[in-house]
Amino acid sequence: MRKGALLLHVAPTLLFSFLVFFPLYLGFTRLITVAELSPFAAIWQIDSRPSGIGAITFTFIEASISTILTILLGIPIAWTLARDNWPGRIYLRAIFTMPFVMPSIIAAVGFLALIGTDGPLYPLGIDLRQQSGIIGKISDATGWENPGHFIALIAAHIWFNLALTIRFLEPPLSNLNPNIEESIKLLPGGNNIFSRMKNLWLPLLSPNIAAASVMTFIFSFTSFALVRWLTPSSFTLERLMAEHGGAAGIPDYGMGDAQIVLGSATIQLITIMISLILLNWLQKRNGAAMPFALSKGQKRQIPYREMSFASILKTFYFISILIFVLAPLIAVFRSSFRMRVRTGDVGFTQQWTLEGWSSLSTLSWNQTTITEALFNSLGYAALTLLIAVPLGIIFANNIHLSDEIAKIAKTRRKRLFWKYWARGNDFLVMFPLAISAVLIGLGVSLGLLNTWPSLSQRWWFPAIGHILIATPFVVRSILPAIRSLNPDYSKAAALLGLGPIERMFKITLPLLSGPIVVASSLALAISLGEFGATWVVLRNGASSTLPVHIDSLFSKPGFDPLVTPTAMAGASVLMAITLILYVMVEKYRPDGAGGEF
Amino acid sequence: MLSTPLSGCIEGPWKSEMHRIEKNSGDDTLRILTYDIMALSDEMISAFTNQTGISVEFIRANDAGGVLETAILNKDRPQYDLIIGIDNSFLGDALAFSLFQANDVNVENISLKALSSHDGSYAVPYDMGSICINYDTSYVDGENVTVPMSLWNFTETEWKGKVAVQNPRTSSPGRSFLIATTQYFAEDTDENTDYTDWWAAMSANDVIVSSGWTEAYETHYSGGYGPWMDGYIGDAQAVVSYCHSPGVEAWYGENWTQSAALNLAGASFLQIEYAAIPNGAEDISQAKSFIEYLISPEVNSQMPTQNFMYSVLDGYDLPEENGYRHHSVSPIDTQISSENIEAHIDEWLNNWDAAI
Repeated sequence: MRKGALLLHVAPTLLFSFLVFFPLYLGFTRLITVAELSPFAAIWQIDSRPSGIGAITFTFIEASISTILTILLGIPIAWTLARDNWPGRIYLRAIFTMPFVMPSIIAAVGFLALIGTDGPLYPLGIDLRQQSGIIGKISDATGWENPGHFIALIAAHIWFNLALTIRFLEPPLSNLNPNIEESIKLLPGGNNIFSRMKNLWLPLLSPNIAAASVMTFIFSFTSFALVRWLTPSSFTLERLMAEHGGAAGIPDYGMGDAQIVLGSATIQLITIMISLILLNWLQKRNGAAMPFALSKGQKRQIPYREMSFASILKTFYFISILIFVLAPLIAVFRSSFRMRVRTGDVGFTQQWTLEGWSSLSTLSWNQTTITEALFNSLGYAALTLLIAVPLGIIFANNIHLSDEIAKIAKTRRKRLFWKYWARGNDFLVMFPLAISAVLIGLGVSLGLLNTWPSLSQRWWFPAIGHILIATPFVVRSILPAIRSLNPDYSKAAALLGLGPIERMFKITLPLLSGPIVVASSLALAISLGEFGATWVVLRNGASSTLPVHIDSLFSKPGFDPLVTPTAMAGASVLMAITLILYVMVEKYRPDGAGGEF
Repeated sequence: MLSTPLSGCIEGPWKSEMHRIEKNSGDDTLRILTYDIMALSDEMISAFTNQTGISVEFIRANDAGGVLETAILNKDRPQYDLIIGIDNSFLGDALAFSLFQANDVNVENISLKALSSHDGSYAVPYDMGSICINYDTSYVDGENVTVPMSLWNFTETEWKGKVAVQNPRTSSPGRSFLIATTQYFAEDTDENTDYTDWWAAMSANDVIVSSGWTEAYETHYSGGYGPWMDGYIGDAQAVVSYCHSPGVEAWYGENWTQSAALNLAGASFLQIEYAAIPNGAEDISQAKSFIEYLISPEVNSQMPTQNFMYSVLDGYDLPEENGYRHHSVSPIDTQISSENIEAHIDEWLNNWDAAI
């Protein structure tokens, strides 16, 4: 390997490792110093603090239930999208998977608007917020505190993560060669639905179900914005770390907070590492389940099904999910036109208004208006795009090349080296996504900021978190495309004397233009919607981003009736930009890229 | 390249790096570390710039605690010349960390009440307001539930699960109220109990503990504007807030509110917010001009309507309009120095953790 190529291989890995692990290392050592406890001793402190009581249990329970229900609700959708000839199938899939790119603060305020007294559920007798009516009866009968809040949180987690189940399960279902399915029906091991489930579907789907489950579990486990707004009396470890993170890095001042944060971070890191290892093991164990796939170019014949009870049931299910997916977004938009107005002798009423929209650039909080926060966000997004996309492309290329080198390596040692180099890079680049936004933010704020406080005055500073969180999405969008590139082009170019860098710019990149648009749009959307890391980092200065600013507006005293509609108008703007980016993603998404994001 | 279009003369933080270079060459920009101070409207900042030729740039933190943390982190090499928004529940910590330098701002127009916690030599007060329990008058009807005569009443069954307080570790009103309770139970006639017993009894009575003021007031409290907000729960009929919060409710509600503040001697804490010049600041004279502007009658008299806090100047009360003053309460606040708070706050916080 030439020196230049070697540098291109090693430099991104070193840089990214440094950006991920160095702040975390500094943050942890600082926490240990301030807390005056070891990480494991700190775990026992969590339950002795008022906000921490029950937090560990709550986090595990909500994440497990969210995961199970998301998978159960998602499987029928993936199944039907893959196997039935629905009109507008592509559009339905796009809508069902759209929540995954939506900023979490949008989901939080959207669900709040849905379950509030001005929302559509309340008149139906479903009062998830004040928990009167049936929800109150459930609570009284079972002694379960705040069942309504819990249900709302789980619903929001399902809303967010359905996309994972659909994206992971649809490809193996639609790629299965129908002949196999027909043949197995004739065999004793497949002559009824249960035996087919056991002998065909479970082995076929289990690696992807495992992947979707682990990802959903991790995202629900590390939920912050949704927990903060939907279950005000409950804490995930992520919320504990965020809300106690401010003082936690200051010696002689933040000892109590440092103990809570250190304990939470320790459990969270261990849990996530175990989940990822488990996933790896499950996928390896079941990895050889796809020899039945359709060969390239062979299209699955999707039978048009006659009107039947099953199809009516499916239609009903699809319409319900469609409403479920769109409702929080519509609720946000609607709320931007609602304002409380004083009427009669007692109290207020909600009335229609345009004032929220007209106050977007005048109503200021913390010397920042929504318009200014939007421009800040666009600045960070641009920076994220400029760094995360090239970095992600280089990573994807390196991972692919290492795999290829491993395939042709002559010695076992070389083969193993390149194989693990590829796997290691893949793991490294996914790591920020798995360890949660708040941990990234705490690394940056407790690690870097507390060591070099003047960094907080650098305007680009909060973008570090955005870049770390966006890069995995870029890699996941580019890697499958690079793998499917025909290597002959590159070989031919090499024969014609083009060096690796020239080949990259003249051959590979132009062929990847579609996936690059997808990756760029995703990077922009992730940066614009990023909440947890920015929330933590912005505690000490720099300029507010739009999602954090919307959160601040909702946290601001709302005596002035204008605050809510203005915040909702800001949320609508953020939602609209994300939707435009998502349309770009869907438009340029290559076929069969379902297994990635 | 990325500068944000900001109104007035406030410059966006995008410019901060560029600014530092300019600053060394001696331009007239004052950098202020603060959290949201609504009194500092764009118009007022513009007026300050027009009067003095000094433009203003803000470095923002989340809240009073965030301002203190940022100030501690940047100790001795501050990136700003003025700190606004540290209150007297945090002032002792700030002084213990030697964050501020002495100033010679003339404080003779400032009321004795506003100077009660600190005499102004290191930090100049610019607004204040007492923190106490607010209650829903539609629940406290005088028959089934009467107005509490002591904080102990809140440990009784009619208040079970109906009082919302803020976690003093994450909320500044919560911290202020904890301080009030430590003194209230130390000074009452019962020598066998103290604040830890009361908090433990409150915990047994299912007190609702929230992360911040908004969650307690807007989500849990039934007496304020919460019932008209998304996310309202309404399980609390009493909440820790400002003693003039009912006045602010009335101000926006055309003289209507069903919230009232509990006038209970010694059960409230007078929160005083300060402006101070950090050690190591460069532009002391500019910072001083801004403090003087902040405590000038023209700006400070606007505190009740712009910032929903009391003016610190003698002779300026809340406006009568819309029942603002009528619905506000001025109780006898607990008396405690900021040094005393600093000396004990860790112990109080730990005891509070244990009691809840």
